[in-house]
This record gives sequence, C-alpha cells and structure tokens, in this order.
Amino acid sequence: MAPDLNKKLEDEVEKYRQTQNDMKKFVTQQQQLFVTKTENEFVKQEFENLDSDATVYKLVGPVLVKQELSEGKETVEKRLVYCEGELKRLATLMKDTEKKLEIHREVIAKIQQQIASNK
Amino acid sequence: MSAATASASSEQQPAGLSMAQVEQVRTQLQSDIEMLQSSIQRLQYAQEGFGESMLAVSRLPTNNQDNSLLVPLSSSMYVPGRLSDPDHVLVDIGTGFFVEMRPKKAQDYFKRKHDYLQVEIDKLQKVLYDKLLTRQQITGIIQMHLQQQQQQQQK
Repeated sequence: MAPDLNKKLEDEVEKYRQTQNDMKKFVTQQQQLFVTKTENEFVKQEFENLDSDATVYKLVGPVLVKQELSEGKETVEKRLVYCEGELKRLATLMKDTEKKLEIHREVIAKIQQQIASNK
Repeated sequence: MSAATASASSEQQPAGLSMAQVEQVRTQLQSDIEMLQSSIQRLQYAQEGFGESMLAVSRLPTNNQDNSLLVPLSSSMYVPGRLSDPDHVLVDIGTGFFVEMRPKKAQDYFKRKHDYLQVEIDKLQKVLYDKLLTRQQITGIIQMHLQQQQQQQQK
C-alpha cells in the first residue's frame, strides 16, 4: 500500500511543479504586456498633444516611413485594444491556474496524511 | 530544518509568529528590497538619457550660427558636414514612432519625461524606505530571540 501512495505523491508533486511553471510563464507574459501597454499609452498621450499637421514617422524595419497623425493614432489605439484583450485573457487563465494549484495542494496534503496514518 | 522548526514553533513570539515565519518574512523583504533598488536604478538610468537628450538639443546651433560638424562614417573616420535643418529634430516617442518637433518642443518633451520619471522614482523610494525600516525591526526581533535562546541554553 505504502509504495503505491508514495508513487501517487510523486505524481501529484510533479503535476504541481508543472502547473507552477505554467503560472510563472503567465506572470512573465503579463509583465511584458504591461510594458507594451504602458509604452503605447505614452505614445497615445504624445499624439494628443500634437497639432493635426505634425509630421509623424513610423519605424518599419530599417526605414522611417512618413505617416499621418490619424493613422498613427489608429495604430496605437488598435495595439492598446489588443493588449487589454490579452491581459484580460491572461487574468482569467491565471485565476484558473491558481485554482488548479490549490486543488493540487489539497490532494498532496491528503496523500501525505494517508502515508502518515498508515505508518 | 524540521527539528529547528519544531523547537522554534514552541517558542511563540509576542506578535504570534514563529521564528521560522519571521525568517520567511525577512527573506521576502530582502528580495523585495533588492527588486526595488534595481527598479529605481533602471529608472534613474532612463531619466539620465532624457536629461542628456535635453542637453543635446539645447546645444544645437540655430540658423544664425555656424552649424558645421563632423559626421562619423565609422568608428575611426569622420567627414565634415553641415547641419541642414537645425529647426527640426526627430524625437523617438516609443513603439517605433518618431515625431518631427522644433527644438523647443523637443526640450519640453524631454523635460516632461524626465520629471515624470522623477515622480515615479520618488514613489518607489518611499516604498523602499518603509521596507528598509521594517527589515531593521525584523532583524532586531531575530537578534532578541537568538539572545533569549542563548540565555536559556546557558541555564
């Protein structure tokens, strides 16, 4: 009986570690998104302060391409919407992963109790 | 480790935390402090960049002055040239966008960024200061506890 339980414990701990790794990845993604979102918000602010005939250039690879201010504003707005969508998606994903981690912890605790009471 | 935890948890601190927990809090605080310090450093570095840009723009010659300069073609070769349009500068405002501005507006932009960063740095420094204080208090609690343990062992 004991060896089976020990194996079960090992399996559960392994699953827990994997879920933790997933969580870490999500946290990194979330941080990246925050940075991108903030940067784009800065650019949006700067655009608001410009006159409509201001000259705007966009860096596309090694080339600076002249753009209309309205085009630039649109691009930035689209990026912001994308970032917010991704952040929401990640938030839900992270909540679910947190619940999974909690379930893993409970299972591990139960198995440990069984092992202790069998001795 | 488990033996130390067993004996530590039997000696509860006045605050209700066991020594192991206090130690955990201290470790967490330490890593928070290090993260804050590194963030503040990075912000200061970025702020310096804006300060330098502001200075560089202020040094640009106007149309009435001599605006000849040396243009680097490689790390060891320069060619003489002239600044063709000292009235406009291209400013990188982030995410791949550049805006043509008058030097005065560019300086205002850099000053705004510089000041904004200062506000953020100040916020972080306040948090850092509070954490440093807390860490001091916790170190004091740990030392007191160690002293108590020593006294008990001497009995």
